[in-house]
Amino acid sequence: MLESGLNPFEIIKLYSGNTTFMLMFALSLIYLWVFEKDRVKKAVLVILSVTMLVLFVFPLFSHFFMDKMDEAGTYYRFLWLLPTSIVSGYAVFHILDRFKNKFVRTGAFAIVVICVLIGGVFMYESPAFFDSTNAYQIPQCVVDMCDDMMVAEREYEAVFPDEILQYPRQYTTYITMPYGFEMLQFGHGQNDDIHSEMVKDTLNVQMLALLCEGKHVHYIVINNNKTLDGRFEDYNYELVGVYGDYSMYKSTTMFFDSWDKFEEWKKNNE
Amino acid sequence: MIILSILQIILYLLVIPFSMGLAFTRFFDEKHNTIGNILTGGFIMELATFQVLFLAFYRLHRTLTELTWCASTVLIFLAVLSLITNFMTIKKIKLPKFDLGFIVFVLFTVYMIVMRNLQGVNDGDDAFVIGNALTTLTNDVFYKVDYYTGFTITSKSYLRHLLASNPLFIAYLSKVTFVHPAILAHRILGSFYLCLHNAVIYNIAILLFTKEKDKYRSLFASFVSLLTIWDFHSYLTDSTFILSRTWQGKSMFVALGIPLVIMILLMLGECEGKKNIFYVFLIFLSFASVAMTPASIYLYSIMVFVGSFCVAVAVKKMSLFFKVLPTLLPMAGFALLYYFYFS
Repeated sequence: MLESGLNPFEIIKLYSGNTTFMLMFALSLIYLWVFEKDRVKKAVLVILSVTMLVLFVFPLFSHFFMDKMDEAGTYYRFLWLLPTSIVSGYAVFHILDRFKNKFVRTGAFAIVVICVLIGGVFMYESPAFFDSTNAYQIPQCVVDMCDDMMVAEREYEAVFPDEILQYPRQYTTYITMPYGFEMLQFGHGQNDDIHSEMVKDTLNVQMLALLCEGKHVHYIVINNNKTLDGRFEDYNYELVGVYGDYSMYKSTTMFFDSWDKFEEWKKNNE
Repeated sequence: MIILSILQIILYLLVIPFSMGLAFTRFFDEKHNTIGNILTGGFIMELATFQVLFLAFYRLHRTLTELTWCASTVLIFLAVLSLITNFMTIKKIKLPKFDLGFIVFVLFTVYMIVMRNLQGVNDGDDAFVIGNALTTLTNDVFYKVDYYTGFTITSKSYLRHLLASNPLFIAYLSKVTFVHPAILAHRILGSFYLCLHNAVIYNIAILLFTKEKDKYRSLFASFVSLLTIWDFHSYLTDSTFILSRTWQGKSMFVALGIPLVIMILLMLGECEGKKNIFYVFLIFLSFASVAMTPASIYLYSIMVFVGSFCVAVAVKKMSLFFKVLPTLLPMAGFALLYYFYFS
């Protein structure tokens, strides 16, 4: 999602990054506009692209979608309708075909490929990627934590830091949460008291433990980079283990076994 | 169990789409009867069929199990019917020319698939896509349990995603293949959609490079793959979506929906006879696009509207444009539904 208030030109700038490929696309459009003889190819690759671009920056059109339809954050999606790679690729081979000498053609193609490699940005350098260590492609520490949480085949409630909030319920539905990823997407909801505590740099352990106990949270997962102003052990939670950058605490007062043993547990604790 | 899972994956992602896609072979020109085209066409039909069934089952408050039985029966019936009626057309399938360019193109495809399997993606939308699929699979009900927290859904915020049945399609495939939705989506579907995307790109190459220029087809497809892999100019680009969150609906629309529209527009302008099949395909594609993402309601409609007008003007045949317009009726219906009921 993009921040609102950007105009279409700013969105194009953000979308294009270092603008190499967008420039290549623009030059390809101009070239094909002039030299493409096939009317259908010209219509689909050139006229359609130019129309889409014109519509994208046309004030009434952008106003309708960004303001009236409330799509300001996703207005960039219209740029997906520009077949940039297809048009650029077609223009490159259209130009190459003009060279009759095979060696010149091969050399020109090699230069184009080198330009792409230099001007482009390698996809797998994206910080969004991480080395997957398990079949689920979910961070291993989350998988390990969830496995250790589920001591019996039943649901357990847990709170997680924001950075791994999206993962537990992709792995198992036996973990429930007082707040989930919607908290990051749609803002604070009705359970934001725990979340408000969790996002602080220095955690108020007593407050957090009390809130979690009140909401019957079995497990609390804390990022080790946070400073704690107390010990969870003093407030009915004990350390289960450290999982990478995270520590997991478990309630010492709640029932963890399978539900058929609940009556027996209740009797022992009365 | 693993063997059964593999067999089910082959059935639902290869055999059924291929059999359904055979229906197109008798209408397509010989050069378009490629395995990729048939498989892609069949998959679009499969997804469109699932979309219709899902909306009906959601409206009737039925369970995922019931939907699974119904969808499997319908899909297998359609696949068998298509296979029987078009069996003789299998010999019309054209295999690609295995030259050096094609080998390079295959290597690019393999590279994309390997990277898809080696690297996970840190993306919050998975909390909805995979979370929703897993929650539906476990609870057997649609949108009754909050996929983010596990509690009963109290707000209607999910309605804006309801038309996009992709997470439920993952849940359905997960149920029939016995594979965890995260593994299925991240690894199997991700790889499968990358193959389909590259197949569509190759078919576009067939349309763009005809006659003596056909030697450029494989190189063009390879070059497009190269551009895709080197197109991380921002996290917003189409290539970023295609290669990172391949299994998510938005990315499916970018990887399959948009290139397929380009392909159909080129075919509409090129082919002289038997064009009616393209209009039928556009109807399937509109349903499948909405199954991928509700944003396709306006993105797809605008692209098809403008594109078909451009082609009609190019071939000086406005009837072509007026024949395409009715194929947008499902989109108009979805738009009304979204506006009055879901928003």
